[in-house]
Amino acid sequence: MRTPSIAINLLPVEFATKQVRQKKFYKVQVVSIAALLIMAFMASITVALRVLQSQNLTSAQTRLAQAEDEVLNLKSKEAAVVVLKNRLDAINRVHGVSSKQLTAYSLIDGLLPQDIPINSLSIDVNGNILLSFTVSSPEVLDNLVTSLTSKDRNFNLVDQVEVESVARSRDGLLRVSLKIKAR
Amino acid sequence: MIYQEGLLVLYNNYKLYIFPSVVTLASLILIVFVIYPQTVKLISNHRTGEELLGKMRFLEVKAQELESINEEDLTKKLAAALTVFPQDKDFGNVIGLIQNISSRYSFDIVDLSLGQGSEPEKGAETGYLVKLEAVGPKSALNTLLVGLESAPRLMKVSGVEVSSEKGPDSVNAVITLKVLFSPVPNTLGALHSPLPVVTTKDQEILSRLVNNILTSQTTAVVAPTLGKQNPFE
Repeated sequence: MRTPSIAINLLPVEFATKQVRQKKFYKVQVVSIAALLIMAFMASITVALRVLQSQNLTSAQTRLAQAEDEVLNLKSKEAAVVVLKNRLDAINRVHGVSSKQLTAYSLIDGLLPQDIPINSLSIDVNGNILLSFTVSSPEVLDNLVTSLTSKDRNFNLVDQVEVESVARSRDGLLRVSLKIKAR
Repeated sequence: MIYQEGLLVLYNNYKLYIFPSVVTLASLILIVFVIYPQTVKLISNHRTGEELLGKMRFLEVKAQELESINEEDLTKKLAAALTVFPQDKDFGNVIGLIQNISSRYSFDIVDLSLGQGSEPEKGAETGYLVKLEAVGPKSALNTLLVGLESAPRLMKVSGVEVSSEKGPDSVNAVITLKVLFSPVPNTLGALHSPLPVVTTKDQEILSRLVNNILTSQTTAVVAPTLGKQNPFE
């Protein structure tokens, strides 16, 4: 048979309280020191990364300066390419696009029969035409005016045709003066 | 001495609060003065680094492209382009070209006068006026006008006056031409601007121009020799 044990704490109450407080303090101390060490570690890591990054940046800046020097050495070539492209763009814009005046003359040259003599023709800066010619019959004049006013035949270049004057001479020929307004 | 003892007693009584407070303060100082600013700088420097890398790659590619361009070929192309569209008035070249084209289409020049430069209208190129008076076949006048505008020199017909001369097939034509020119651009390629690309279409225009220039040079009018070959005979 086991004899029952009795535990009696003979230590004073203050001592026990002090021990509890000490244990609590040790726990707080450990946590605090751990936190401080972590902060110190993070601080040192960020500083180290910054130093490494600064070195990389310096190296990148050096390489950039070298690349800039390389391009600057080829400055004259670049200027030539820029000027060439500038000229080609302008030529492309202007060349191959007929002026209003040329288009107007080509239209008249195409529609007026070749055997009809032109007394006078003038084309102004806006492409408007003053045309004077001689025909033997009114049908020729009629055909010409019809062609000039037909969108299919005038390529939509003519806005208006005015017959300024028609005069029949003694030899039976008609002297016609037309005013053709460009679109 | 008493002061130190007092401090020790104070610390012993309140060390449960003092110690973590001091550690917290130290951590805050580390965060505010070291960790946070360094992290912010790390992030911004990373962006700067990316930009630098981008610029460097761009410049390296640009340098390679420039080095790959044949300088002699570029000079020839530029010369051709500047012949067609020069940066200044070129009266001599234009007169020779007009004479050449006129004779090609059987037109005899009666008068050729050079006008003043015109003020550019908005969006138009700068140019000077040339008035050409020529006599020739009516059937070839349209071709002459087309020939002038297709010449290896930028010219546009800005006025035409035609009157009949000796017969129904002969005309007296007064053609006003606007001969274009333009100064070169002020900015000739900034360091970080991309290199203009000469496209296939540009190459075609160039080849056509070079051929036209060569054709006009080979069919240039030869001035007739006047007088004796040997003046001492």
